[in-house]
Amino acid sequence: MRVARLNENGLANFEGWLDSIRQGGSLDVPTATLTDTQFVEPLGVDVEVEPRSFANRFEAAEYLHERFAAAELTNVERDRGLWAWLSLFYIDAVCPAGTGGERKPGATARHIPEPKNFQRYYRHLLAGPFRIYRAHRDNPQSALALLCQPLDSPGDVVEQLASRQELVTNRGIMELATKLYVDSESLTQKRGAGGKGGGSARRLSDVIEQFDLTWDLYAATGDELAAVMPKEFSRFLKV
Amino acid sequence: MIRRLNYTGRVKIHRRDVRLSTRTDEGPPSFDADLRLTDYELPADALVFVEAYRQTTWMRFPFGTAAVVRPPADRRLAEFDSPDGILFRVKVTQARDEHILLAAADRIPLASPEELDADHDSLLPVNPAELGDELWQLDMDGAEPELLVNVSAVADWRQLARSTTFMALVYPEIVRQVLQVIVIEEKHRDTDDDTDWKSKWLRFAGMLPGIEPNPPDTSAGDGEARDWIEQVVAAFAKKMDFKVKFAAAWHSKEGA
Repeated sequence: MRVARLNENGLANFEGWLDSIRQGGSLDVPTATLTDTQFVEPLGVDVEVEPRSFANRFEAAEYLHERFAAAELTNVERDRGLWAWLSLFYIDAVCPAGTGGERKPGATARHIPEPKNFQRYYRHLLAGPFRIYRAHRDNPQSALALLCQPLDSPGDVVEQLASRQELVTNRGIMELATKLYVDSESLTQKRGAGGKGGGSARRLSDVIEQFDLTWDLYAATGDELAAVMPKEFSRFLKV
Repeated sequence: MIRRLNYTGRVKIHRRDVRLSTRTDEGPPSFDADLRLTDYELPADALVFVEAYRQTTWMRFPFGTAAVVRPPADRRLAEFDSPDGILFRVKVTQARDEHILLAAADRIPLASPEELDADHDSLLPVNPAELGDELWQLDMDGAEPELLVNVSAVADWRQLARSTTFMALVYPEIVRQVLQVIVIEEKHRDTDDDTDWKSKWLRFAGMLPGIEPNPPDTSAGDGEARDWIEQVVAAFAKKMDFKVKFAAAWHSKEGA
């Protein structure tokens, strides 16, 4: 299907449906919104996407990055209508139906991005991983710590690290986080990476904040950072 | 109040010494930077970098050394779709080990030419910051206190910071917090050092009507000092006529 952009009517319609299913309303996905000119506006370039599932955030980000690159579509990060359209198109991936057909969409920002909101812009389930992938497009595998999770449930590691600009944009810190929290064989998140325990992503954020006063962390590699991490991180580095 | 431990004595570069402006030539936005680093006694060969950032977008530009600041020829902000909301950092790092941070300035917005002409040497610099759902914070982490205003709360953060309602609600509390740090935590009493922000703040407080020029000695306890601070805050609010101005603003369009 050709990608479009939800206009204000489309955004209101989508948001209204999200509100409705939270309150037990109709579960029927308003797919007509995707093509109805009352709700969409053209993107200006031809970008084709097909219905599919994604194994994780990385796969979704990689797919969309390739689609946009093929169409030479740039400056998409803050395009609210585009990302909302994609969320609605991939609703079964970002908000899968349970056994009874019910959906739990969570906060609206997961589906309709708030690109100017510092606390929520990264929470969009498609734009969030896309931004991270693009920021590390020279070596996106290095950011697997924030991309290895299921698309519909990013979890605490993403919340702790993606919310901090100085962490998520830093190649060395992303290399370190991936070394710490991603199993190199299964490419899934290690147990204990989330939460408040020793060596967790929350603690990594705290430690890096203190390091940031002393070092220019953008000049450091993941290995260099790993060598100076406190002992509490050893259990993740050894695995 | 933001406070972190700066064990290595990294120098905070004053914002008045970092002036960044955007260029509106054809193509992607680019920027000019005027960095004044000569007063910071940095090693001549220390490396200077300017970083531009907004959310997940980030670019870094080498700017030569502390002795010879040399902007790169290409200062296009090519990773950004527009200059809106871009903030900058300036970092000075040790030449032999680029990881060691010697001096830094952060959260610097692009300025218009009019703003660049303004006098930035104020007692309380006001700067934009991403503060989540908080409207303001007092940053005592750097070389001097700064008022941080939420850059995304309203369309124009400067207008917010200058509004009567904001000033009336926020500034007395800032005076209280800053003086508590100076007088009670740091027990600073010198009012003569023109290079020390604490002395400048004490002089400002001591010149308010009815206020003893010097803060009380805290060696026998904080009680008198706390009373003095409360008197300063009250005198400041009275001098600024905050109650009357706030009421007028509240009943006009600004406060509605």
